[in-house]
Amino acid sequence: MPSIYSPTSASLRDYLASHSHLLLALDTFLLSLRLGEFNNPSYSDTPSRPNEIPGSPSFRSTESGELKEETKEGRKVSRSALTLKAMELVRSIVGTTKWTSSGELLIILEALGRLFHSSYAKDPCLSNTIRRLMNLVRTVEEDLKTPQPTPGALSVNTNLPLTTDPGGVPSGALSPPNIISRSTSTPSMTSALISQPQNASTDLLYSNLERFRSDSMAESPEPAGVPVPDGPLNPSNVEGIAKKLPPYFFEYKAEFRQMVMEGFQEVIDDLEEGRREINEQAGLHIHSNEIILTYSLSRTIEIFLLHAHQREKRQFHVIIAEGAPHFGGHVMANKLSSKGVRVTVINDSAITALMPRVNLVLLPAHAILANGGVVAPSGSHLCALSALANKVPTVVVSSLTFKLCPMYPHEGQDIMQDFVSPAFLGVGSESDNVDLICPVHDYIPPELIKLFITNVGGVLPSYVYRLLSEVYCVEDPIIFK
Amino acid sequence: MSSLTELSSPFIEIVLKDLLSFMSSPSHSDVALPVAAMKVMLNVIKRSKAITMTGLLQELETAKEGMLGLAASKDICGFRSHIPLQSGCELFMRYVTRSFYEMSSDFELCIKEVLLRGETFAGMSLTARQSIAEHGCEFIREGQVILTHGYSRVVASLLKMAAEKQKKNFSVIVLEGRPEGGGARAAAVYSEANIPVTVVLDSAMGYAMEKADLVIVGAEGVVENGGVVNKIGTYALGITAKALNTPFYVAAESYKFARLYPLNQADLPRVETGELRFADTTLPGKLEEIDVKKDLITVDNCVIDYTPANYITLLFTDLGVLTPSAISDELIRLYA
Repeated sequence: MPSIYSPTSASLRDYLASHSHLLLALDTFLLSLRLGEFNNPSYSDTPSRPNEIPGSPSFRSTESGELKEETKEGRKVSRSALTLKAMELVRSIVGTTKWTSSGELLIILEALGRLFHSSYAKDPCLSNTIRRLMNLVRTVEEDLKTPQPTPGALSVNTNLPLTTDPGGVPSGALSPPNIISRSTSTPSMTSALISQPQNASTDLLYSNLERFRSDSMAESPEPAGVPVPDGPLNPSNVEGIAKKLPPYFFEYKAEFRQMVMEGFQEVIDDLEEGRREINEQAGLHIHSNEIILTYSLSRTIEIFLLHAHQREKRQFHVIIAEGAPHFGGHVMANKLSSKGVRVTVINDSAITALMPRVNLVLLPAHAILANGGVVAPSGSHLCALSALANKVPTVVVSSLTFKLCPMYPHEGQDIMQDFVSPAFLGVGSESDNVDLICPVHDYIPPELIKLFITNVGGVLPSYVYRLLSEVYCVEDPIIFK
Repeated sequence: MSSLTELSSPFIEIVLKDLLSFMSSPSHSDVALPVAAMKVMLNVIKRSKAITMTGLLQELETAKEGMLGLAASKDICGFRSHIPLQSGCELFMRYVTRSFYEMSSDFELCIKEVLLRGETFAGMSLTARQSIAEHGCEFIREGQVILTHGYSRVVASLLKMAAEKQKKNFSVIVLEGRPEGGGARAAAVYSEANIPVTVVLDSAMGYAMEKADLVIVGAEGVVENGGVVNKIGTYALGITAKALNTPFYVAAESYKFARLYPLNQADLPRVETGELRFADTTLPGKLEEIDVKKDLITVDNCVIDYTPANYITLLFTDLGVLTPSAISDELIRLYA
């Protein structure tokens, strides 16, 4: 079977060549991504406007509007279901093909991430989950490496940089032994001191690799059990992430595959059960006789409120801002009221008027950024500002499993802004001088958010960075370009 | 050299001579103060006759005290605080003890390793700056106006990378940066990189802020709560940026992280500086310098101030882009 040696789509296809069913599954999935079957339900689940004003051109009457209408049936899949589907595909690819080391697995994951990203660039959910898997692979690798010191390795190689001893120094008192081996040729002492692999700088790993290539291969006695990767697997032949991997990532370890697959299963379980953990907190945050304002449509908020109503027996009143021009709020109102929740629908411009009566603002998140800011449906920034002015707490309800992004606002990209057809706006002017735009998202800065209700419990915006360093590794590519 | 006579011990004398020679060497312009301090400490280890870790650490501690004493009594840092000097020394000592633990407490081996790796410290400033520039320049976008204060090597390398490598078009407003006026040097450096520069007075920061899309400053020290100690005026700049909702970014190397927790400006270590030239330019003709020796006039020529964490949007460091609250985590990780 061809080995995978670079994170490109071509090499991934080569690698999967003998697994035609996997290739087919991958291509089908990518195709459905490209066809927009999974477009964000917050604006694609748009109902037609309930009462069309005669005479004004509605979104149905324009060409792009019709296109949207035609594909609408296929778009009922939520992002969590999409992510789940993608992860099951990843699991079947990883579980049935013959990679041999964590390095190879990381290359496969990076290639998949790039493929997903190129088909579905505007949504970070797939890139985030792939990144999470990559971090998992790294963690398993480091875990396996730690408890197996090579006795005597130190005395053999005292003059050589310790990097070349994959076994490393015997377990020391303070920290995992790999600190020393990682820090050998580092110019940054801080990274040498820091024990978390997340923080070892890329240069440092790169220089390790350089050393690995230049002198250690020639001079140092090769410790037993370390196969020299050759051919396409040699780190010097690879591109992308593998360039930055230390050589021990390309060793074969017997129990590695099983541990990784267990980890993958945990991630998938997280995706499946994230909402259950969020709902368990509903009783803590929603009290009887409260007035809760929410904006547009969110499946997470919907079942969060339903849980509070049905399981916790809370009697509360929900005010829903309709979320023009997509009117997700109308769908939300129907869904909630059919289950017996008292609902009032308001137009978006009435948010400020009603805010003084509101006890709690619940907002959905499209993505949570590294500083604790949130990308949310356009118009929700207004909600949060109005809440702040009235000292009403704004709480974001969201699962962190795939929405937590490692980038800061304005870093490289903007705030994932996306524009959809402005046909929804239905302005009755045919003049060329009128520009219609329809941005989908808003960025809400962390200062406006009181709390995140997530699958890992209540989280303050200032704590988000900490969660990030737990689930992602800084060396993995931030955005799959 | 009055301070040298006070610290008469020949040991300290050699240490200080070492430090001063590093500071005055031609390559100094590229090497930061903490790195110079680390080199001095490496030399202390090389010369040391200590046979135990405790003995060696005592020598290093004495060397640190000596260097800090010199910095406090005399302006060797060029209108800067000696916080980075202190943080560099402490980080180095932490590094030595940690290596000792990891080397199964083998003293000889530990020293050998420390000296071996010490050779790479020279490049540390440059590598850190490079990595900060890579992280930070992602935040600069086409057509933006960037406000900066005085001259900082980190900020300069960041802006140069955005302009030269990423070919972004943006312009810079530089505050003059009194008392030493680093803004002039900054303007020269930026214009050389073909970045349009405007130089304004320090007191024009409020005026300039509304034109700026973001503020980037360097730092002399980053303290535990995520605040920074930097050139005088940074605090005011932070307040102004906050008032106008302009993102305020700080670029700082991780060896500047210091275990300090200042609560106000008075908590900062005093920096000995020369007298401020305090002149009345409204008088016609020759510049009349006001006689600052007059009994009722005190001239407080402070050169550093402390900017609390809540004025800082993000910090660009060689460990990655950090929120101010992440600083204490990194410090705990370093020193715990």
